[in-house]
Amino acid sequence: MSKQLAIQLAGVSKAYPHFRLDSIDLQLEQGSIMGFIGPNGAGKSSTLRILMGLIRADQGEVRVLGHRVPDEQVAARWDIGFASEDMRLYQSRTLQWHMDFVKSIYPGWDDDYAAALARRFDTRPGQTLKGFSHGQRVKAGLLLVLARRPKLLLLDEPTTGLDPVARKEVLNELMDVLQDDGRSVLFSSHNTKDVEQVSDQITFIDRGRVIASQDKETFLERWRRVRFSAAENFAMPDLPDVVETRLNGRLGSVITGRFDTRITDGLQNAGATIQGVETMTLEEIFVTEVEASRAEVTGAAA
Amino acid sequence: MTSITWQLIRKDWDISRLPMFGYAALAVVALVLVAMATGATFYVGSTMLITVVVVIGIHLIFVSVVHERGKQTLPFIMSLPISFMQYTRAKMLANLGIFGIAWLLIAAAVIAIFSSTATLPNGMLPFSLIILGELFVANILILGVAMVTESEAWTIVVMAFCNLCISLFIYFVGSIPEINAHMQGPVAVWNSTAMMLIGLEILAACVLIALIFVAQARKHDYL
Repeated sequence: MSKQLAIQLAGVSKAYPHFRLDSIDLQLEQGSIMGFIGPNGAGKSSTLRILMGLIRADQGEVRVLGHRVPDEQVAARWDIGFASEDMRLYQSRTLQWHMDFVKSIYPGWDDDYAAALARRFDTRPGQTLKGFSHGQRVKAGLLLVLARRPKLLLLDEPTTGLDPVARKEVLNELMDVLQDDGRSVLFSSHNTKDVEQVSDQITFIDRGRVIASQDKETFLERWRRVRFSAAENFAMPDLPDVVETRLNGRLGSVITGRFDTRITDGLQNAGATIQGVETMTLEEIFVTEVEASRAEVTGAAA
Repeated sequence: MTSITWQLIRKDWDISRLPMFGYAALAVVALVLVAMATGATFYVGSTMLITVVVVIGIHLIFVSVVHERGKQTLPFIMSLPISFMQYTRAKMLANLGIFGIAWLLIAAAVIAIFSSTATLPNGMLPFSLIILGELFVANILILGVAMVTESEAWTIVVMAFCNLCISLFIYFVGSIPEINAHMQGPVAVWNSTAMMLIGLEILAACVLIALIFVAQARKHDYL
């Protein structure tokens, strides 16, 4: 039986004067973590804000935890923990003041977990936010989100600007949160390494369009860079599913998002010698996808 | 009123509480100066009182509305399970509630001082309450501009305009013969002109509040 969906976006569009979120389709099963990767200005924050009901899509259907958004956004938000990079807390108030405020709203607030998180994150509840470093402020924001035990976490660039230690603490905490099978996370970032560590699904977005969405293992499994050497007058054969081809003198490489032996066989049949078949990092896959998508859009426009 | 609306009002009160006590102390000083009823103290006290009323309103608007957007605490508040209209209601109730209580206390103190101080003419009472009423309406206008335009610049422009209008309004009301004729008299005269001006202020306040809710209800994007 298929799992229930925590998030469902179907044909969602939103136009701004200089940017358009274009027919976004996205699904996240309950209990999954999706890394939402895109360059700055790709549409990650707009998508998350649409999911929260903070901005209204011009077209398309949005469902979060079974609730239609924006019509049922309040009901949905009871079970959503939202933290964004541009979210700030009240500088003149202490973390404890914020904890008391959030606790007064959420009946499910977990005092013990909040205290444990404050210790783990090295944040002092009695200190005003004014005295917090950037990393401590981010962790304080996450504490306020996690201690209410939401079913869905929407995290917009939560690790941006964090030092390596703080980033590790935040990512470790996210991994712990996901011990609970019922909890889902949509985690946007332009840092592929962070996303790769915690996610089991990956979606790439660029210039307002979802350009790829798959589970992480499939991404890493399918993408390969094939390095080869060939004669000076080597004629590149027609190969299936090749996204990028480079030929520099006698050395060349092809990148494919659907690797199988037809690629290596094709190259060898054309006279090339295979030097190696390499796996690719998520960052390399992301950059290649973005470049290919942009080339496709430019080609179509021309 | 839902529990979450109440929590938001409490939050705004909590953040503004300390400065409000400071303004209350200044208001007491101003009222004492008014009650001393010499020419100079009355002038200084009444000017100070008007300033305190204006500053209370502006402080609340800036801390609870303008800074919430400018200092990016709005995403934190809007991540809570509230609709934008609940948020609007909470802001209106917090601002008008806190300002309204301060305004009522000051108005009551003004009435008490005029009634109990022999050297102050009771005939000034209608004029004084009409001026206080204008301050209340101006406060709603500034609050509305802050909420609807979401712009610090526009809020400052309208605030400056409203402050400029205070002295013009004082001059205008003081020049109306039906008001002016009784200002130095021993009895407060609530004639039809005074009642009409107060009625217009109440109407303006109601219309402004309704317009704020209508404008907020038409918004689709909140961040």
